[in-house]
Amino acid sequence: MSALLSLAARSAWNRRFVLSLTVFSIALSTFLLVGIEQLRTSARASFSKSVSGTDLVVGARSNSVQLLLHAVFRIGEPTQGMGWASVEKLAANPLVAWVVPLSLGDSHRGFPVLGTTSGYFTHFRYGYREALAFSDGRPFDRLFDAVLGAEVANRLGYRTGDRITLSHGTGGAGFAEHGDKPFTVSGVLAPTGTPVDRSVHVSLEAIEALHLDWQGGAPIPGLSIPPEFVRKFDLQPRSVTALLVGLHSRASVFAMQRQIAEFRPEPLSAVLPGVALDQLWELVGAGESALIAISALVSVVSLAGLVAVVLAGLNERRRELAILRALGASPHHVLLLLAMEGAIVTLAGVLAGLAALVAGLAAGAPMLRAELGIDLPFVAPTTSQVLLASAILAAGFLASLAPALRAYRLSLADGLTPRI
Amino acid sequence: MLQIESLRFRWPRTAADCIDIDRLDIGPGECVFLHGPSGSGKSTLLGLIAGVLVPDSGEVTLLGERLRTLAPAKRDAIRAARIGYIFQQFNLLPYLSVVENVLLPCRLSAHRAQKARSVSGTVRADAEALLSGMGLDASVWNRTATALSVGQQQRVAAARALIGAPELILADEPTSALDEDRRNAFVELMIGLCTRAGSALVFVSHDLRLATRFDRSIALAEVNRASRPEPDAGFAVHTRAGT
Repeated sequence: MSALLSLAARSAWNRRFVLSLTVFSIALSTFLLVGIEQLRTSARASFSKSVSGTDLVVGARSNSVQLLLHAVFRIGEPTQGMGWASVEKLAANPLVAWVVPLSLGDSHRGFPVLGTTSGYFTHFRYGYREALAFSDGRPFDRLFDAVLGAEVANRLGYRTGDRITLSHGTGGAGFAEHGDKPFTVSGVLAPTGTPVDRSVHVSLEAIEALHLDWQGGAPIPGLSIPPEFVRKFDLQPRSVTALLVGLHSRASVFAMQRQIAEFRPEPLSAVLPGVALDQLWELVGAGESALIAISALVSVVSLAGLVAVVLAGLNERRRELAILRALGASPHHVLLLLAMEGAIVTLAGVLAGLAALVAGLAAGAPMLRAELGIDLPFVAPTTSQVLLASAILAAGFLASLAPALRAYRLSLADGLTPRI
Repeated sequence: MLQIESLRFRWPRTAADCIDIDRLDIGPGECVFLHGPSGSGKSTLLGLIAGVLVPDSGEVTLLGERLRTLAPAKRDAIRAARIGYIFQQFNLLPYLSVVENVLLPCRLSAHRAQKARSVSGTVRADAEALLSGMGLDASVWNRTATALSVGQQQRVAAARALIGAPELILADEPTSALDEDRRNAFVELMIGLCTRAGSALVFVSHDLRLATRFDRSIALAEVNRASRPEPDAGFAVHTRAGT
């Protein structure tokens, strides 16, 4: 058996140039199947850990997925704001333990700026109800203080005490600058692996102050209010993007949701983060299934290629099989030899695909994290990934039984005198 | 050692018998020259003796074992342990070195490996001794089999057939690709090594000039009553294995 295995390996190595194409296509299909599975589970894990401990996300009436995506993940189109009066009314509701208003719209060098209250640092939770921690400095205190997420500080090389200016809008460079009102970094948060890492946090009043002399997305010509005078104005925001709500008791979450849905002064939506995430997965589930179906088809094609290559080479190898027969190998040995060759080729392909995937993840993780905020943790494979890789292996072995059976029949018919 | 009795064999989808031999015996250590024209059923007979082909009726008895009644796996095991086989050409696996090719029978049969060890201590030492005996010096032992000349390849094949001293060597026109000098030298070496190992030799050829060197010469056309052109033998195409 081990003699046979080593013969199979040597024989395959002898034909490595033809077989390497097959190995490549099997590697590609492994890469696709296992990689898509990796992306899928990582995206879900990454999204799921981004918000925890928040019972409801409230915003102007809109699609719940859209509201959640924008408020928590800073993805997609901004939803309409909700009035400050509503915020105050909800905060006063007896079921409500705390509220944290969120105001989005500005950016700093491509990173979103989040206007909020200092309650954000005490109430916001991620992962398994973990609180935000400061790696340096403290929450914003003065009007033009800013707290940076770990990645913002890391990528741009900022430290506590540095001065930064914000840009109007989320379009990145080239947009109008709030250059007249610079901020001072008061603190840097510890890494969380969530969109918090990519956010610049300032107070709601600061957001208001920045836009005192602005109207309709542009500075009002001829009007410029220097930072030292802004305190003379009323800096209470007129509206915010969304509101994170924590309740005294989780049991009242549906009652509260109903109350918000029936809220009189303005139409609002209240979203349970977990439910909205489930809706999101349902939405993208069809696309995922299509991707997985396509990569499964790629696997089938690559295994068909394996069968074709081995079958096509079989006539060339009838002499080899006759030699083995003369040496005492049985037709069963011949069958096993060919099946082992298929298994070796498939195994090589799967291993190459996994290696490429690991390398690709290592190379692509920073980009994915920066562009999409999806964390691709470098961890042990999931059960489904192991199952997928084993399924390719098993299918490869089964597929190579086809040429193996043909070789079996050939060697029975040929005996010691191969005929072509 | 080898007895053939009332042996009949017909290839599938052919109208007439290819082999019809009433009786043929070969003694232990006997060197037999078997000759006949192309298509007289020489290769088929060797296939029957080797237990790769199964006769339609009659018996091939090798060392007391009636091959026809054995299970196929047992026939294969007997071939591995008791028979060395040499083809006309392209005997060697192209992806193994010369020594590894010679060692193949020891990997497939524990009996051959054990016998080789009892002769030279290790199987490798035995392989090297046989290669030296066939006139192949150490410089070629570790080369790829296909890098050798045809004549050298045939001598490697002979060393492989002889390793572990099987009771019977079957050689199917092993010299047809060699020029005359090498042919004579090859036959001398083969007979010498078979005699030393105590192996019987059935040497098939159509070249009658070689016959005098053997204990006995048999014309297949005389013992095979079905002697007629074999439909396939003349077209047997030998391709290089596995490239």
